[in-house]
Amino acid sequence: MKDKITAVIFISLALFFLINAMLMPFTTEYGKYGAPGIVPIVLSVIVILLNLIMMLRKKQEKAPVQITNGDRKKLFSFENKRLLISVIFCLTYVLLLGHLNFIALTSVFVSVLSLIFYRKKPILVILTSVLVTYGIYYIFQKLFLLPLP
Amino acid sequence: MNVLGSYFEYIVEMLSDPLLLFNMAWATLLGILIGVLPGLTATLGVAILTTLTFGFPAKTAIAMLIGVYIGAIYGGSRTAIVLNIPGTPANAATTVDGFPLARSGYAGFALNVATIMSGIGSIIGALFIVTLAPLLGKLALQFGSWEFAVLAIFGTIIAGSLTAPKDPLKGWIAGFLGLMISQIGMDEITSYPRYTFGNIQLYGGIALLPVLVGVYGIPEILMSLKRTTKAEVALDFSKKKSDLSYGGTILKNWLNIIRSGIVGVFIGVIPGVGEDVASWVSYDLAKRSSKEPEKFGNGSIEGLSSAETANNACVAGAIIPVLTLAVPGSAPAAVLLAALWIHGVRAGPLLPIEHPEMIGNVAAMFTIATILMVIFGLVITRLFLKILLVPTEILMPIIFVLCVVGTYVLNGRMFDVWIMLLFGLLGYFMRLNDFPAAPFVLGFILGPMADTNLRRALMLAKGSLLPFVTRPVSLVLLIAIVLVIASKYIPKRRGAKNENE
Repeated sequence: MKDKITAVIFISLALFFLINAMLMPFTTEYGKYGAPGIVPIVLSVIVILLNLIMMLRKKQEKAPVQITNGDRKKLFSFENKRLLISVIFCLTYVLLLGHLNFIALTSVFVSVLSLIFYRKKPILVILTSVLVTYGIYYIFQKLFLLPLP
Repeated sequence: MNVLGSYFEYIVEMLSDPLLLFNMAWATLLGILIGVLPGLTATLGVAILTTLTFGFPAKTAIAMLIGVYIGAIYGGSRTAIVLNIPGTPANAATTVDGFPLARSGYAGFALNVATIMSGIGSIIGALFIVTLAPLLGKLALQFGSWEFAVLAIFGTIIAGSLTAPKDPLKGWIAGFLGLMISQIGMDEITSYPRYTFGNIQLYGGIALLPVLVGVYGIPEILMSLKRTTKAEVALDFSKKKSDLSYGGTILKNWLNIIRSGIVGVFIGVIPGVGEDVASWVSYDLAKRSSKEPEKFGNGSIEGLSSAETANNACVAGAIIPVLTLAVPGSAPAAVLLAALWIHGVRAGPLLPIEHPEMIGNVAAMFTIATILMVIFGLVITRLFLKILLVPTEILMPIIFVLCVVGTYVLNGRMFDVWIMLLFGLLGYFMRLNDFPAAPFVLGFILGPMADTNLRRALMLAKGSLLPFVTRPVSLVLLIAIVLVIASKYIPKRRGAKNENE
């Protein structure tokens, strides 16, 4: 079932590429074989065909894991919760980059995300976050003269 | 100037340049550290250092990148042996025998054997750069648009087959997705903006580095932060292997070492198929030809030696097609290719003509980096293991910041950071659904090559596809494609039929 859903997603993406490639000009100053859409058409058709094979094949699906154990169920939702928190924090950090001071923002991001998952020695974690952030800032901006956001 | 001449000349030049040696030393050390840290791969290490060495002279930057690449592939063995978690995917086979050895008290011996074998593997690799690269370079000069177009497809398909052996279809899908997505941006022949939708930032196409950092870095960070289980650390140096000396281990294993080195190099040459496949294949070969196959999996020194020799030899193998064909043999080699472009070195068939000294110089860089790696490995390797005591929950947010910063500084625009995140999420989705990342990245790199050469071939032959089968190299590659697909599909169908009967 997982493969079928993936195939539908990839086929939709390839269809998007295919339709847009069809709208590209077919006559160019280099003749019809220089048309920019030729290769994208070929490639998107191959992607569609391969995904159709994946969607239609009879693969012996693994027997679904019987979640009878309440702990396992809990672990699964706990892991997804951790994933969701990580994604939200990472996206917020990138969104705020460039709008706030780099050292302050990065120190807060690293220490907060670390402390959410590692609830020990908070002072050491905060201190490490600030020092590492300053280290990154110093290496990129001062030592290698590369501008940071 | 011949390749050997430029090799020895550059070794002398490097040894007499303390600044270059210093830069290589810290890059190699950084590579080892990156390898030691699970979650930081060689690809990410080379990518981050590419941005840092932006303003360096081309040869210094390339030498440092080779140092970090070799260091990272080797460094991963430290974690594989004491933690049973491969520091980089290249060290997965090392865990099988390295960890049992460490758990039984021989951690020190196993770590040093891995260091020595990695060193020997790298030196075998350097020898092949000197000998094989010029030959491949000469062959590449015969390539026309037809061969390059087929080579791009061949590379993607073989990478798909070898990196997804259980389900090659997923490998091929990943590869062709990469080829398809690489078509975004201005086309090289007519300058028509494809899939840009008026966005000027997309006109130049999607840069390789954000894609690589995203596909390899973000899934690893998310997986590590999500995980709740902790690994066992086997830092037990209590016993010494008294019945075997290091010299004795090498002598007893000489055939295994040479075979693993050669296997590593040749797997490295195959486009997109990297160190992880090389170490597994040579481990399997070592097991099959061993007099003591029952020891494999329970702390076999033969097994450890074969995996570690092959993955470092593979680094050289992966660089050979970068230099001669502009086709990367592995993911970190793909970053190296991008770095060569950034520094104005046009890799490919014309490299021996435009920069005749380059192949010899790269082999020399390889040799010096190997010597540095072995010295660091034998002298301060245990110090690095302390880093494993730092909790993942603290390391991963820092690695994420490095990914963001490393991507941003490349062009100084947030657009690349968003691209990195987008491809990171795609990479995570692919990993969850068992699609390998390597063919996707290779397809993404080879896309422009496939596009321009296929259309140029069609224009030259006025639309005829006949030259694809009348030109010998193109025909051989086409037959190879058919064989690769057939070998993966036919036995399965037969097997399925038998099962039904």
